[in-house]
Amino acid sequence: MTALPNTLAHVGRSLADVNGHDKLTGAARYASDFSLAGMLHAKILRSPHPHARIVSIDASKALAVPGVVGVVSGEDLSGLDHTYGMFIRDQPVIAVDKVRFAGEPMAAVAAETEELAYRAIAAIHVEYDVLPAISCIADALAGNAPPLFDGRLHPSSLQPPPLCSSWVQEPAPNILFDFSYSFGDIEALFAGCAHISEDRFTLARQSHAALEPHVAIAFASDHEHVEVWSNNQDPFLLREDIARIFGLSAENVRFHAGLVGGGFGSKSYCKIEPIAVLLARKTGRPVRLALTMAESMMTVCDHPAEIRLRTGVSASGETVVRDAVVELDGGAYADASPSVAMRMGTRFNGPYRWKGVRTRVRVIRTTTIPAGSFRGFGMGHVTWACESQMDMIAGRIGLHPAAFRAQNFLDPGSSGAPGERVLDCDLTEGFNAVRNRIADKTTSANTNRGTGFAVACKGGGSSHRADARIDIHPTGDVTLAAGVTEIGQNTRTILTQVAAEVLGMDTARIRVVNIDTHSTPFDSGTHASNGATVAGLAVRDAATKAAAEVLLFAAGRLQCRVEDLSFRQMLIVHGSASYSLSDLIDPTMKDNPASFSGAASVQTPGGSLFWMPIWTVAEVEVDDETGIVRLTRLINAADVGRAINPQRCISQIEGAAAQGLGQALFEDISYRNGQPLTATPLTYRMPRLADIPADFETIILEQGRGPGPFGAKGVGESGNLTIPAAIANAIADAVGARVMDLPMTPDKILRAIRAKAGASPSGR
Amino acid sequence: MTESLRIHIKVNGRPESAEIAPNLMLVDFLREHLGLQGTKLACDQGACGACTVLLDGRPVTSCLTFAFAADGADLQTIEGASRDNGTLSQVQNALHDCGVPQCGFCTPGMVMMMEGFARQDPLPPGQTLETWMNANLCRCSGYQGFRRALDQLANEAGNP
Ligand code: FES
Ligand code: FES
Repeated sequence: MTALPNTLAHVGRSLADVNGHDKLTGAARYASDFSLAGMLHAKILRSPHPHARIVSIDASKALAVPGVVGVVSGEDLSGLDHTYGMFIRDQPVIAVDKVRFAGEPMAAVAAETEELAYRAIAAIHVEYDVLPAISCIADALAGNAPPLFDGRLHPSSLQPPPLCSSWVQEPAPNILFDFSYSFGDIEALFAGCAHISEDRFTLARQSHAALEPHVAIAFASDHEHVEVWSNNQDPFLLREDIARIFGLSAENVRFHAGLVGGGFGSKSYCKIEPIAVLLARKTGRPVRLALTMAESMMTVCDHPAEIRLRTGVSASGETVVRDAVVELDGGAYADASPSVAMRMGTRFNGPYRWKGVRTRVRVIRTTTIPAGSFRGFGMGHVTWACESQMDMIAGRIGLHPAAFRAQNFLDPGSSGAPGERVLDCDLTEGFNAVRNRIADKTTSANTNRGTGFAVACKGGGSSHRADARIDIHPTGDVTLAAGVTEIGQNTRTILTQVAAEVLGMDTARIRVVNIDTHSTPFDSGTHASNGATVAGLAVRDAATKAAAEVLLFAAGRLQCRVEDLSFRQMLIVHGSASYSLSDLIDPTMKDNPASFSGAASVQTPGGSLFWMPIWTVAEVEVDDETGIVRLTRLINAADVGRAINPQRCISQIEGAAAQGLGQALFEDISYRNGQPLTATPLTYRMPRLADIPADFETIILEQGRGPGPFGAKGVGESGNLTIPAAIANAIADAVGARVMDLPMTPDKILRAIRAKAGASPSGR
Repeated sequence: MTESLRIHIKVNGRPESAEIAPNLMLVDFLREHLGLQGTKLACDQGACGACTVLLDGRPVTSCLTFAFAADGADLQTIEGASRDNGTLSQVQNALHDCGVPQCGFCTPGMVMMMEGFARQDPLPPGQTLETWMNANLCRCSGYQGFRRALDQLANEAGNP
């Protein structure tokens, strides 16, 4: 790691996870471990058909199963504001009139045991009028495609378009969203280019497949109140959703969140929680709705996509103008798709200089799993296409891919597009960090071995509000409360370090509490790698204020000026004397505080708050007889501004890189005849230890320009972005064949090798 | 299901006896009947290893093992992995030192897989702990922390 000089006591140290001991001994508790007395267990009946009208539902046999307490279906939604979605609310809590993907919830049962609930859903009889499936983008756009919806616009809360852009909601049947973005005189710029490249790339359907499936335990003590324990990463947003759907006041909706067993985007925004609430209200008893992992995989996924890039460069290899046309397969419902389209639609410039960029991103509806937010929020899509094409262009104009990139990087402090945040990192330094490593290391003369680069720069931390509270207790213990969810990014550890640094105290005496929306300070959701940066600022400020409270109180007790006091290691120092907090608590006085509290709130503006750059080099060996690729070396470098906890930064980048590796080589929920073929943990191939190259290195750069506490910035979403393109570029370097469709399975690689051989009989 | 059967299992050294349904899975027996919630249920299909426990010293996925199949067995779960005085075992320590737990949901299964391997005597020919670890999924990490922990354990074994 290239580190900043560090004189700090806690920041910059690799403190072990504050919940690590509990996680290692099995003592850690997750929402899936939570139970309430008298709790019922729920199961969901899911549609076997991808597209059908619901003719009738007969649940009488299910209700007759002894131990079954309640059944809900679409008709229980009448009178409710029954749809949800991040910007466009088109997804019913349970299917009403129609089903739009195989796996869509049709009905749900609450019973005394989960086994009874399973039996009961099997006893529900549904009559369907089956309609044609729309399994892919091309099917949805075909002239004879049946519309998924009746054509009316859904309620929405779309934000005004960012600078240089515009959008249209639901412009045509089976088109959810149409986003356009442009700066520069595009056609005139193309006319002046020496080389123009047009290429088409596709991405498959990646699943989050977090290990802990979605779970929600709901209890409605009366018709006006609801309490929910869930592993959703947005407890405060969920509170609003539940209040709106059920017509409750938000103060009467209470969400709890503790440790979450991974998410990667799958647990953001409203998911299964309303079904649990519906059953809890219907039965009057606590209801636990725990999905299986296979059901979680049917709940949300990332967007399959087609990306067509037209890119113009000058005779000397300057990047000049780019035109991107994207179709995202959004699945049956909106979820976060409009937001993903807007984010990715403004980022096709990547880390380079352009005179003009034009983008059109359309979200297409299909009868497949709703696509939502996934680590990187569309930047993985952008990077796959753009960074693959960078190598292709370099090849066409006779430049080395590394040199072509290096000559076009944005300069630190410059802005890549109108209104865009200036670059808070040094792209050249980061690129050289990985480039030099590979130059040091490449030794093999194996002809089927190749190396590939990729670079990306994702914005983070936009439009976010994070509040925090610090309570210093007279015992010298500290309670830290913040609304950011602990989902495996070890945010509690990072926030503990920030508080310990500000308060000059031992991290072991800080306790981070679980989230309870009734008492925990607000947070607008654990997204966009904002935890360490934005919540970190709130914690820093809250700790500063709590320490000031201590000094104010101490000054009163000691009859001196606040300025004459200091507070370190839980001691108040006055000249040569020092006092513990309990020394100052006078039991005869009435004004002893129970604790010294500091609260703070940080609101970030729209647009990116910081840039998360990632530089990658991959080395592969390709077997040109089988098409099997072996990743032999993977080196990532990332700028984290300032590493509050270097080990945690490395873990984030490594873990994201593994997800990128899976996306590159095998991850795909594919469909046939409207049915998902690989939407189960057993059939969906994910990276295992043996897939990880032995030579796997992560370089943390501290370029020192982060807006977070002590100069930190987020790091959670960068590590996966570049991996597929770096591997594709390495394959092309190894065997001269280019794969443009993810995942790069052996059959596609073989086909590319054969196509190449066919095109040039002389061989590569 | 009306029939039930009685099983006797030693769980972390403690004899347990229970009346169970024949279709009860071992993971549910542990989590719901015995309240041992450290064992995690993730994929429920034998694909991820989060539910790994040691049945007579051998790692099994408790989501795919019937509770009755453990009748008469000696069962070790994550709750019994630490040393008797409550401090971390050698395996747990190595994982801790290497910064392993992220979300932690895979961690109990990973610990039990590694504990299981450590208890193999003699070692299964041609097998390494690294190959065993392929049975378990971790979706948060890039497995590097596990690799570092394996190295640390190998070093410790080399210089006891
Ligand atoms: S939960 Fe048993 S193997 Fe995954
Ligand atoms: S730490 Fe989350 S799955 Fe391994």
